[in-house]
Amino acid sequence: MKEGRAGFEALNLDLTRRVLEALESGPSPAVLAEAPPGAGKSTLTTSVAHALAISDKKLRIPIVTQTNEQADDLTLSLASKHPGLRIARLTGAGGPSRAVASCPSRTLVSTNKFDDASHSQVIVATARKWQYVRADRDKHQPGFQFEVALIDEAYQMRSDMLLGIAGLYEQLFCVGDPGQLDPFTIVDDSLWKGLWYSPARTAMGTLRAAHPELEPIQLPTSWRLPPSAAGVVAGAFYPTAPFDAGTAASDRSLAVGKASRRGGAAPEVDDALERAAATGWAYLELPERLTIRTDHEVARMLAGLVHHLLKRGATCSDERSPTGRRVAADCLAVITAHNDQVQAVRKALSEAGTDPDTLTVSTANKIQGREYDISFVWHPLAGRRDATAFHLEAGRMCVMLSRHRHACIVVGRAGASRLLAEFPDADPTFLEEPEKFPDGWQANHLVLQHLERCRA
Amino acid sequence: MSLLPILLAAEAAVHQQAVRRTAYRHRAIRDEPFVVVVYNLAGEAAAPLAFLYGTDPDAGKLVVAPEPRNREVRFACINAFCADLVDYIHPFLETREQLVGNLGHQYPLEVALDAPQIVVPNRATRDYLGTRLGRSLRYLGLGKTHPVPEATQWAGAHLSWLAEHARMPGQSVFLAATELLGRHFVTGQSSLEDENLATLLAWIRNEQGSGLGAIRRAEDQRIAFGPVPDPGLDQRLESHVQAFGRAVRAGDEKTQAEHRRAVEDLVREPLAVAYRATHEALDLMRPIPEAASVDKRWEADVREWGAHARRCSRQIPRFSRRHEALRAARMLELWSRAQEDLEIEEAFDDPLVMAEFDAEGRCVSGSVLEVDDENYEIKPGNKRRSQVPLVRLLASTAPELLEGDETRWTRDRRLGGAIRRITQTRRGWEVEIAILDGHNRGERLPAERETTAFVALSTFGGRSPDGPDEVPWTHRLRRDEPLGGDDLSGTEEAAGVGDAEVVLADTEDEIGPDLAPEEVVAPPGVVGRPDEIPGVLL
Repeated sequence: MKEGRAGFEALNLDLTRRVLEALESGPSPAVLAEAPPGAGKSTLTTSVAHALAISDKKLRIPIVTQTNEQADDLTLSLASKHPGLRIARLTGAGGPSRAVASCPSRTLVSTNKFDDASHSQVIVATARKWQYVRADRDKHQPGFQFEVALIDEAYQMRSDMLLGIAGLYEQLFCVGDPGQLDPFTIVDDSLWKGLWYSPARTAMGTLRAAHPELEPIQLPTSWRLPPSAAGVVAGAFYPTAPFDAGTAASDRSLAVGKASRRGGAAPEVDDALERAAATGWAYLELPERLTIRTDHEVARMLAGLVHHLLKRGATCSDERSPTGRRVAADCLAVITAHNDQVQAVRKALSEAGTDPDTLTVSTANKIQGREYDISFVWHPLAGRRDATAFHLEAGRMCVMLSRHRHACIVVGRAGASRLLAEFPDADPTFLEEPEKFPDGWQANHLVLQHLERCRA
Repeated sequence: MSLLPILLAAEAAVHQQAVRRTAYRHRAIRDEPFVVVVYNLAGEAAAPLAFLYGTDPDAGKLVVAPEPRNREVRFACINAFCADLVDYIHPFLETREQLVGNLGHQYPLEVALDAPQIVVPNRATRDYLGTRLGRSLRYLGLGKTHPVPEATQWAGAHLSWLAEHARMPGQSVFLAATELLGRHFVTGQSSLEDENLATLLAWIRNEQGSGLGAIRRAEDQRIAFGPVPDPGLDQRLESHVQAFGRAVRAGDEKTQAEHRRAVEDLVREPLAVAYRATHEALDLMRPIPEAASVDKRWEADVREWGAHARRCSRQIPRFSRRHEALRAARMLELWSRAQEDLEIEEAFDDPLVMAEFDAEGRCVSGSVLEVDDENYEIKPGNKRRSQVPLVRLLASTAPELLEGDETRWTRDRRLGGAIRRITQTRRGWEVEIAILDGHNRGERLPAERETTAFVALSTFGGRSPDGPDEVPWTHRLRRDEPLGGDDLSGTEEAAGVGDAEVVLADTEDEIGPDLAPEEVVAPPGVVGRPDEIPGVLL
């Protein structure tokens, strides 16, 4: 048995110390930490914030997140781990989410006015909100700066967002996962291609281009992914920064209940569930067909897998619950590439007799940073005629294949590898535009090769 | 993409006739837009062979450069076009002082009264005129460049502004006919094929069920609408272009005139076809009733044009080669907001556009069972109770939206509410929507028994945050001062500008938003004598 829970905490303590030392020692304006999926980024962010706060009671520590959901998650986890800490959740005009509003902590304030938040030790807000704060300070309090700010999910931040807020902070601690989805723009960004400070690039890309001396701290271990997945994900999506699973194969186990004889599922569904339980992976391939995006056969297959898993029942054990526990519906996720596929799966689920609200059905974009026991993935290339950059994006595949603690079941259609081989890359090449790394085509190819071996 | 356009394309293919994608026209069409069609010499970056342009559909003006690789010949043609373009644009530069801004923060500003409208047959021509020709002209008159009339320098500035403004979603100042028609019609061919204005028009004009004959004929005519001529025409042009070049070098004016006429004759007809087709596209669009938000977007166009006009009132505006970091971020914000607004405005203006959202599963529709305007609740973030009317809809199919989703009323987007509850009953699905804003004390609400819909489209109406005034440390190279500053000293040494050779400064030195004439150290030029080495160096 590997170090498990204790190992995680020791490592986090060590990393926190390294980050603080780097921030204090240096002329360096930023400290970066890069982490694979499930490596304890959020834990590191909260413990660094806490350590900074206790080192200097007068310090005000802004935390920058990319979405309101991330800000809420972080606020709640800070409040529960460090009850004494004075925390402010600085929101937009829409106010706080229900979860934050109903949080019992007495040291947590939620406000949309910066002045009301400025007495708290830690101030959590989205980058967008900080941009309003920065614009307001420029007007009323020019030269105002915080000593240090923490940026969570920094690789999902766009360069123009960092431009809009960086003036507020003397020093930054940025945590992020370079393998996940890049931020996107809804307008054509070709005008700025090749510029290192292009507003459409990732903030970390710009920061590192301007400050090549910054060497990120690597978080070497994924505590989420089981050993069966860590190797595959690291090989396909993190070729230059390999990582291991923090747990041993013997720490994690998953078992599905008996298949019912009558009214049971198609044999391939049962086979996929059993294979996933035994090996951590299963690939269910439907016959080759060109389909519309909301391919009902794929949706029905995903719904059927979920439905039969819940019907048969499953138990898992891991370092958090060594004696085992039931896999509840809220520990399952169905992940798709498009929003309308989410709707198709939800519809298929309710037709199959499973309430879609009891589990998570979402797109890769929205599910980043979340964790489940078992994930069901709609392969982005299933039934397609073209393999566009969107569908080949390595970050999307990486998010899809790295949400699970126990097993991942992928549903696709035959012909995906042929599509990869035949579809020409027609995207324009721009001078001085850094190559996307890892390459989406290659990553998809490696993933398909792996899935071939797990076919149900 | 929604399934609806796919269905419409199938319908168009079956009936051999384009079908309307929108009920309204979502772009402004002015009374006398300036239409330009152009041919460029194949293989050259910005060497126009001929322009045909004007506001009168029956009387376009043709100017030709029979050997565009010769600088004198090329500029004779470019200057003639530029003079007429500037004549058209100049009246729009008139400004008047007006109070602008919000109540309480008003200040006087010179604003434009109207904006020009330039229409070209396709996107490629728009790119060519704006990004390539505009770019090649805008530094002329600075440093050691070929002397050109002031009008040509002005045209370079205007085309550069137009090229940038064309990126603003929903703008109507610089239109491509194929893009305009493609937004409003769906044909039975691919969107790539729709870039051919001739066949796109044939699809729209074709009588239902009359077969594909007329469409095929339009395709077979093989008249390219620019900026690059059809290869067949290119081949026929080549001997005359060569002969004209030789005659120029020999000083033989008679032969020059002969080949000039030949080139004119060859290009006049195909360019005239493209010119008429572009006007025809406008004539097709004009009678379609204008969507409600078009005026607002045209006002935004005029406002942006006003900023250009103010710069023009001082001197010929100069454009940097690249956006510096602050301006790039500002433009991305401006264009992204315009894109979001456009999507929302088009949907709320036009039931056919809204139907695409419905087909994507972003609407909940049904008949109104009950409106409870007596409901009071404490809204999130509030301390006191306020009126939150509840609307209960009966939907016949399962709604694809979720509880908690925020929606707007499709009939009046000021009304917004969140889906509270979805329950399946024997009659169908009952959806309860809590109206959180815009109900005007319960006055603006759907009526009971009416059939209506709510859509999950968010309308963030707030102001964008102001951008920073200076580039922060994260976006600055360590060795330099802030990017895009005025200080360009050292640039000349670094670039090593010599007499014979023009070297383009290639890094962050070239990106001030407004370069003063003396700051532009790298104008485009021509290497050596133009006749010895054919080729335009940009």
